[in-house]
Amino acid sequence: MNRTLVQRALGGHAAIGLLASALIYLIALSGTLIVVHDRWQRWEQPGVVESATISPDAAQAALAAGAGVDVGKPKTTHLYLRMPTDDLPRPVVTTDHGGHYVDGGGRIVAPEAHAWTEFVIGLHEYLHLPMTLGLIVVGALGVAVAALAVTGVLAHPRIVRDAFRLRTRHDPQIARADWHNRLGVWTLPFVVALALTGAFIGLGSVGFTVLARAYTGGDLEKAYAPVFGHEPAPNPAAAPLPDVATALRTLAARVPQAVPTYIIVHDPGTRGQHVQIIAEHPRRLIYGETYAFDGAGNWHGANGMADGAIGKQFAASTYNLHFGNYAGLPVEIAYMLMGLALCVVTATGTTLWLCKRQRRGLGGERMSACWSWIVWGTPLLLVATVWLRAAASATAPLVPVFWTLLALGIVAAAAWPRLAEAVRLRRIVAVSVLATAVIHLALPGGVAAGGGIDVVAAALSLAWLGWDARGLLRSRRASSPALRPAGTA
Amino acid sequence: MIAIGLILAAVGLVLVRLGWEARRPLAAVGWTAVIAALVLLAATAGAWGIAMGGVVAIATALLLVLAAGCTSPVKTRRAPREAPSVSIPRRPRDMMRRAAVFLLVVPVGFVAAQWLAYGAQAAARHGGLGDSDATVLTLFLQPVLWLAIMAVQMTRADARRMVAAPAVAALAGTMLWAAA
Repeated sequence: MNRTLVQRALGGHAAIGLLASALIYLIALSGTLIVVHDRWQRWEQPGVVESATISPDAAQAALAAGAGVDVGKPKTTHLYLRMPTDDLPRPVVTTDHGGHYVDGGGRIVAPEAHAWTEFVIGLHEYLHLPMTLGLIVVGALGVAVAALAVTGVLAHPRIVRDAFRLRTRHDPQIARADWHNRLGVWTLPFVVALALTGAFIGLGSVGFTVLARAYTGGDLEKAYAPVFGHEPAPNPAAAPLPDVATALRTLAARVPQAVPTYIIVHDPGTRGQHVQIIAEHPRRLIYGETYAFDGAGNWHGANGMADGAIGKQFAASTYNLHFGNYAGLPVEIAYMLMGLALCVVTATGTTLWLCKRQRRGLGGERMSACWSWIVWGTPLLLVATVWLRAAASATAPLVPVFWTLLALGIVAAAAWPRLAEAVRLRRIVAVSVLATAVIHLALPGGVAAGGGIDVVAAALSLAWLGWDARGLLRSRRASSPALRPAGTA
Repeated sequence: MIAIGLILAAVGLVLVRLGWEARRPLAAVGWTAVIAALVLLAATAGAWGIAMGGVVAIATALLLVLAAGCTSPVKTRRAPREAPSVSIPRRPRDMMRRAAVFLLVVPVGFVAAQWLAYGAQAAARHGGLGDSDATVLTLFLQPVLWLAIMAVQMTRADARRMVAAPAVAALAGTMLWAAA
């Protein structure tokens, strides 16, 4: 590898990073959090009755109860029943007008109101832009992340020699460069897999649109059909709700290893209605197989996500590979740690560039303050939106408040850089996380519904504050002769 | 077998760490163990097994790196005063050049990759590939090809040389489409 290529790769790496780092950081941080989004949903709504299982008859009752809630509203086009899981032991019935938790008997117990969790998911999936545009932008940023990984490797000629060198107690710039390079190199397969699966999901709408124009006269549903299955012709004549209990029993008898996760009723209450049951298969990367039934609960076969064309299996596998939900909590925790590593890589990358500018006398104090606000202001605002959600109910305007404060913070940091000192901001983040966790633990049902999150958050923020206080003490000792141990210069 | 594969992946990374710098043969044994673990997991549990092996290997490597960070000696050596690898454009000409780079890398690169992906699926469909596989091929190839085009473009010396990669992709897409 010649030196010129290394320099060019470093230039390309820095250019992509500077253009996209703030948005990549927002996506990486929100993505890290929502690996356990079901647990956040429980955490956000403690005190809701939980049920680890739901029988076929109770599922039938739940769907009827869900359809009954919408009296007086336009008829729903779809009826969903989300089955309880270890992460979210609450069945949820959803129509076009909203969702409700149901108990083990299929009775509605509370409305689904996890606005903050949805807000963080929206930040990660489409940056709160209009859905399709946002998915494309986030998909494009996924390609940018993968390109950063490739150019980063090309710009790193000592990749093997430095593989395990992490000089945390050197000069801050050397330490930062080591954090950036070591975490970047060792998370490379994870980052590339996540970035490309994210891009596959985000940019998929463009690909389907192109294929629809070429092969199905612009009909997107027909373009989706080869992968996700065909839908029967609608028949709007009235009919009783479908026999989902029979469909569930049939599935259990035919495919005993399948674990139903979603029941979807298309065009409920019409003669054209049909049922899809999505079921997980143990030790498979696919999100599930889709089994089709008619209104009477008769078996119409599987779509082939588990054992059909390789393309279907591939498409079905990209989702779980991206979300990290294919082997329970241990893999989810590993995904969160690796996601956190990506946040560190993104944050240190731009900080390194800013430090180099400052050391060359090129200024950049205001830019550094703005970057500090992005890095530390974002988690602070995520905590602030939790408080807003708690104080002003699930209808609180979380999205405009978050983006307005983020923008105002950037303006304030540019105008008064000292306001956004990284050290001060991260202390505030740690204290706010600690306070939130402690207060949540004290809420009725707080321990049972997400107490683990509170304990981990409290422990991490305490450790952070302890480490910070130790550093503060050391620097005071170093700068004050009176506090310096005898015999040291 | 899955447990053996996962343990082998972790042990392999530990051997790579032990063999790092001084004992190269040990590192080679470590990498061989990691590859063997991934093959074993793929044979036992398919894509799920590879994903699990990957997670265990990466998590082990991160723990080893963090351990290195914890035992790193204290030093006060200053980092060299390197120039930043990119500068902020100030003159109109520099801004125009940056805008040209952005246009070539983002919209032009995106469209070229989409066109090549479409051409590839058309050719594959013509060659007998089924509807499902051809559809997913388009969706999968687009980001991968865009990544390749972007990586080539971002390692070129100037904007003019960034034209070749999307141009070649577009030409290849056209040829594949014409052949289909």
